[in-house]
Amino acid sequence: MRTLVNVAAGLLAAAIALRPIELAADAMPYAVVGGLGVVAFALALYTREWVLSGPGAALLIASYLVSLSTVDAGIDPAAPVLAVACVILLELVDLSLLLSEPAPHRKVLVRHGRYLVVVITGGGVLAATTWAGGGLITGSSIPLLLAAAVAGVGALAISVGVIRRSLAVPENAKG
Amino acid sequence: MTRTATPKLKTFVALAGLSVFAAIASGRVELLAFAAPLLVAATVAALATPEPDIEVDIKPSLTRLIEGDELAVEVTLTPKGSWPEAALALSIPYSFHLLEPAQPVVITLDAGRPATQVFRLRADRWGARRVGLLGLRLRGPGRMSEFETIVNQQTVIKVYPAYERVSRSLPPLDTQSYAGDYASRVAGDGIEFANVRPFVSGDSIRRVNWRVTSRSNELHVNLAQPERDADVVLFLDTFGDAGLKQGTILDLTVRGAAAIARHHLRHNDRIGLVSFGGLLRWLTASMGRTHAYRIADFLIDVNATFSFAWKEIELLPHGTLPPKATVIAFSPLVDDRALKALADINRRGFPTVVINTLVEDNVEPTPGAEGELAYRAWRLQRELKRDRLKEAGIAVTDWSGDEGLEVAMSALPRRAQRRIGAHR
Repeated sequence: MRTLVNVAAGLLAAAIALRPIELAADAMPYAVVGGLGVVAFALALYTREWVLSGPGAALLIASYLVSLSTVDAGIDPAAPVLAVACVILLELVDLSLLLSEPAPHRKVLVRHGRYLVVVITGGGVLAATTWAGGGLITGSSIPLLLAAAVAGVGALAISVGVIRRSLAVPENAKG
Repeated sequence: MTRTATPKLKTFVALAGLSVFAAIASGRVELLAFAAPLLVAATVAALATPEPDIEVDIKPSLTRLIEGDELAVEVTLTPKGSWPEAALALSIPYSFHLLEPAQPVVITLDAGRPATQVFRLRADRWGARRVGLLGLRLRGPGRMSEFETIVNQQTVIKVYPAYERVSRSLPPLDTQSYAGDYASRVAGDGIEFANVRPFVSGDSIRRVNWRVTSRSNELHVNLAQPERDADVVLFLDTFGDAGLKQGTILDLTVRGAAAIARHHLRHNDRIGLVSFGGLLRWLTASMGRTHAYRIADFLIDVNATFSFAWKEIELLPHGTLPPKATVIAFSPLVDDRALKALADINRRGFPTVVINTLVEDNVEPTPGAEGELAYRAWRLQRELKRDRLKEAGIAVTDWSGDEGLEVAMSALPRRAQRRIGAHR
């Protein structure tokens, strides 16, 4: 299972690295930086060291930022997707490290999966909300911006509530 | 418990900060979108991680084992809150071997529900060890925060040496006064015929030898050799230790002493022990089941302690060497202090034999001309020591552990074995 997770993480890193190449006119520098980011993630998975995935993600974000600056106007519609993909990539690295420990029990993986679903959903909603809000700021009306902000806060509150509920002490276990 | 932020949390927060800074600096809102899910993950993890409140109980299944036995250590965790990830690692003491499970063990803790994990160990070598030191790490949701602590509930586990069963040991030079299994030199009541003498007042009529009486026209009675016990003192040379092909010199010493002690205790003899080395320890001769436990506890604490101090047998308290006791010594014939002590003991009238636990044939010379030369000089030196012991009247036999102890003792010179008489 760890191998599958590692392969998925590698492919996702490569996919994130492709977006700047797609945006910019001159692909070569972005390919190099993106490639270094992918290599950093690959090293993090191989050596089981978290510390290498930070620089890897930073390189991908920097590459994306620079490629955005070459785009004349408008907002990149892929931004929320890339944001969620980045978080999923980091969580895949973490899952790979968890699976590298001697036989974690199935319940540990199930609990971790529940957490991931909540975080990715909540994070995705917030990312989309932020992106939409940003689009409104650059383009349109204040009510829509307020609605986007409320949706974002609501997504955060729902995520926290779900997690707290799943960790609450069951009735029959109270002393 | 010590709370620390994991590298994952630091990475998330750093990337979120970097994205926000880049978004503000560049005016690109897309990077704010990058920061959002990272912040959500960090916030959810921080808010959902409670302070740990957990009871730990560590219980070994046994406190006394024999070499090769298995020990199960049960660790029970009773948490107040839920923890998606709890990693346990039991400290494995020296001479124990972890059979299962592989460490660290990662389990989930549900609030209020005890979770039990069993660690199976095997005792590879004798000795007294402490078991019960546990490393515990709790990780909150998302593995962003972790709490670590060391739980110390150590229990002393005594591992006794496995020993071979010896059916014949050295017969004693002279017996003691309690009933035992050895034919006494002094004639009296018993089973084994010893002699015939004229009847004196007080002799039992049942002992009259009628054949001699009819020939001599005078009443004669049979005398027998009563069966008595013996006193044996085991002398352990613990000035040093060295590795052998299998185990160490001390392993041989302890196992050999355990085998001989067990044999003599079964025959109602009194056994004493002396550990003569950097640390001088002794156990006064006694017999019985309780004494068997004392001997076992004495042997598992045997250790080679390096010391420059000169030691004499006068340091031993009165009664440690009972009169007419047989002394069986286990020694690698290295330290002169032990050899001199043995010579002194023999001179004081205690019949002494030495079982050499460092057999020259099992020692490989260092490759090279100098190594060969040093090896030959070393062997000559050891020959000299044996000759000196022989001159002092002490018989020496070799025991490498490859063959049984009984075989090694049967190789003692006939005179040494015959000192006493028949062993029953």
